Amino acid sequence: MDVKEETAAHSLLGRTLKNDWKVIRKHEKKDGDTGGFFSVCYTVSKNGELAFLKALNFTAFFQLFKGRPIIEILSEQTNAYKYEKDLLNRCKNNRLSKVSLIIDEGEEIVDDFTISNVPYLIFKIAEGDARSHMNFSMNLENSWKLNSLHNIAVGLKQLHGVRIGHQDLKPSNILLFQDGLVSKIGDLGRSLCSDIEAPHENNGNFPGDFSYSPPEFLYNFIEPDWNFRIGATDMYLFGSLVVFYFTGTNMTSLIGKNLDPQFKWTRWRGTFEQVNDYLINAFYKAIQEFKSSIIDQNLANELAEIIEYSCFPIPNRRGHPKTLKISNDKNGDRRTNLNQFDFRRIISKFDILTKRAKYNLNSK
Amino acid sequence: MAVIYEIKERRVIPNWRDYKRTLQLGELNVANKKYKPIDISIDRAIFDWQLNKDIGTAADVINSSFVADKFNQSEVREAIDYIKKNENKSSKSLLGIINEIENSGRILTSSNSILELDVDTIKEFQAFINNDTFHRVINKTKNLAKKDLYNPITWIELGRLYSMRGHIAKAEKAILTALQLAPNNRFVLRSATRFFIHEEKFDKAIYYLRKSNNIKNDPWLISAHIATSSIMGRFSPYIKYGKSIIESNDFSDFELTELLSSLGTLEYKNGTFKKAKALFEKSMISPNDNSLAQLEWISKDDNRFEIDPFKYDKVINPFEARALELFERGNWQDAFYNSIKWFLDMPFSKRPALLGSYIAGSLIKDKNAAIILCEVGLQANPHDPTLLNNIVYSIATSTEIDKVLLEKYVKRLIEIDIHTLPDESKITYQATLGLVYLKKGNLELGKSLYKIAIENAKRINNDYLKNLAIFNFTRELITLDLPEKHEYISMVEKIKISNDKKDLQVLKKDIEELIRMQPNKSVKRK
Repeated sequence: MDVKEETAAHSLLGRTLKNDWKVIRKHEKKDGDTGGFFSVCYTVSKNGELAFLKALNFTAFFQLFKGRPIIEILSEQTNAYKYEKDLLNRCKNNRLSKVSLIIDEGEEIVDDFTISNVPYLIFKIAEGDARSHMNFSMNLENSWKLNSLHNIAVGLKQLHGVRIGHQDLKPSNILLFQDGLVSKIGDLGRSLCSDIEAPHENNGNFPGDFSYSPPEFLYNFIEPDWNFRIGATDMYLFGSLVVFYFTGTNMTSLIGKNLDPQFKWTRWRGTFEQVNDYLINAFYKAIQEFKSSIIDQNLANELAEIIEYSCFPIPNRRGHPKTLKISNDKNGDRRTNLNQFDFRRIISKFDILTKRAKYNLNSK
Repeated sequence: MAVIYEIKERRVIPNWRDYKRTLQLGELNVANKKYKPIDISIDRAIFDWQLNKDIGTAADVINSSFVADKFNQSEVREAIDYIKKNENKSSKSLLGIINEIENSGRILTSSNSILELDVDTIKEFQAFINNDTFHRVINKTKNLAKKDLYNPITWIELGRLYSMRGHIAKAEKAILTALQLAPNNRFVLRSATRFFIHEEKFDKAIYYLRKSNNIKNDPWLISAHIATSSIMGRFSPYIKYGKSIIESNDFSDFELTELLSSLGTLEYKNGTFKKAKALFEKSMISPNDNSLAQLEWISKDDNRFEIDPFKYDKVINPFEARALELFERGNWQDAFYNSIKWFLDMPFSKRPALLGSYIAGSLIKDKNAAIILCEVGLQANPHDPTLLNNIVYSIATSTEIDKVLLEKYVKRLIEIDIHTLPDESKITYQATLGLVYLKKGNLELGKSLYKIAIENAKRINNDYLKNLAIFNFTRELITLDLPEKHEYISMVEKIKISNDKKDLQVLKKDIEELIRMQPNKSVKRK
């Protein structure tokens, strides 16, 4: 069902907002998208600086879900907006350099509408997302890819440092700045935070885009330990992004490609535990396939090693092998105080790989 | 003399094939109606594609479409075309996924024969078994298992390859590793069960099945437990879970076929024909090769059960049932052909090698084929007395005897401790040694061994073995022109063969033909 565009949120074009932001272009962005709240997006400018505005659109929700109580909708949408705003402010206050931050926020009153208030968030405008910069053919732009992945790993480490798990890392949420030289993580709309309950918590189910989901959620398995689940999910999504950068397929697709159709999540009528070993088998084949996509075999091996521990299809065995040994005791019982999903090692590895690629050095 | 040495009681033991073929047979699928697969939206990727047409966004659409199994939207087609037009910016994996999308829903095979390699001639068969590639495959799998450390399936594959070569200790080590990694996996447990039963380590098979978390709710595992317990003469405690699974209606007919067949076999053994018949009938609603072969075997044991395995044309790899049925019908050529297929399907198993070598050596007179089959059977079962017996028999009855080869296998045959063998095997062993001594010129010892074999067969009232020994002995007496031939020819003439023993009818005809070919045409009688 389409949403009518006769709402306050759709009527900002041409207006000058508080702090002198002028709304100069409306984006063709679908109402709702995958963000936490229903939004309409614009380009705004101030003193020659362009920025990106995301406006909360209450009305879209009323139109899409007729019959639901207004109080419920208002509360839900306001909570989602407030949640994202709070997380963004936390990122801003902590000066996270590899996360797309808000530069302003406010609320515009547009008369002649039933709901005239339009809360909005303004972000630094990006040149595009990672998809616009992609070339999947072998050995092309490796230096850029590795640098971008390094930025993203740093961004995730920064987010985790302020107790936020992104949970929706995918190519469209990697925003490019400075002629593509800097990559930042965007869209915290589906993020989860350890000290603020998200409106989209959804009993622990995957909050992000299922096309990029770690396998466990696709088979309805939900890890009960919150910290573990958030860490395992972000780590998988990062590894999957590495695969996308070099092959154009994400890890979930690549596992699916190497999995017999009878075991695929869209057909399987059993438990996650029952399909585990077939996923592992497909995963190892996927790793081989990934390696064959990169001409530089040293680079292929190094990346495959990272992917193998980042994307292991069974969350318990995901994470750097060294931390994995510490995080699990002899009986395989988990010790939650140790973080097997820390990005420190990944960051330093990508740092080395980026420099190596930049200066065209071969690894030993 | 050569024999088939059929098993006395067949149970529904899981068949052990390589992973790829097991998948194709559908035995690893779970279709529990309680669970509903996920439905994934691809709207976000489609919308992005409508706004931005570049290789990255096209790849995004392809990923979303493939992960969600949703291929019908026109934008998916557009994205595919875009990537194909810009192949220089694409990757092998992305094009591979496109290929998967374009081939989705296509049935790639409609054949009911899925073998690692199909062969048309016995030479091809020999090449498949003996070539160096086999060693390379073992090495490759060994390296893969070490690299893919947590992959239990590779360890099972390695175990199977070792098992085919008779490297039992190495095979067991690989299988135990797989069990350690995946103690609840159906493929791992069923393969391990088959291996342990083959090695007569029944306790181990039971131990690992019972240890599995899924033993109470997986019909394929319960069936394996019932079959293994039955071999051990025990009563499986999981029978009641099996019955409740059948009543739950949560599983498809195919998922229940082996369980129903196992329970049917138990009822049959207990003498409750009616219950057994009902269970077997249900097991045949959607049978697999194992449940089909089980009913075929039962029908040979008790003619109240009737089955024509050829009517079940959807069953994949029905070679065992067909080989037995064709043997029963006296269609030696096709029975032999199905034995070869059966062996290729399960190369560690000795039964197809025994049946095939018997048909080749005794009925279609292709001694070379019989020798090859025994040799390959001996690779996985190097000390099997019946295989050793059959190879010695086939070499010794060849037109041109390979003396070196004969000596090699006679030496191994003699090493067998005859006292450990069942009566039937002792008789066969004595007759075959009798043949060897006759061929070597030690006539008295040869004759006395044959006579002992015949007497022992009489003693245990085994007419089949007695007649088989008499036919073989008579043939040798005629060939060597020994004076006792008259007595035995007269004996042969008096033997009446029932219609269900078509192999003995052939052997009797052979002797009669030999008699007719005697120089003076009429044989002097006592």
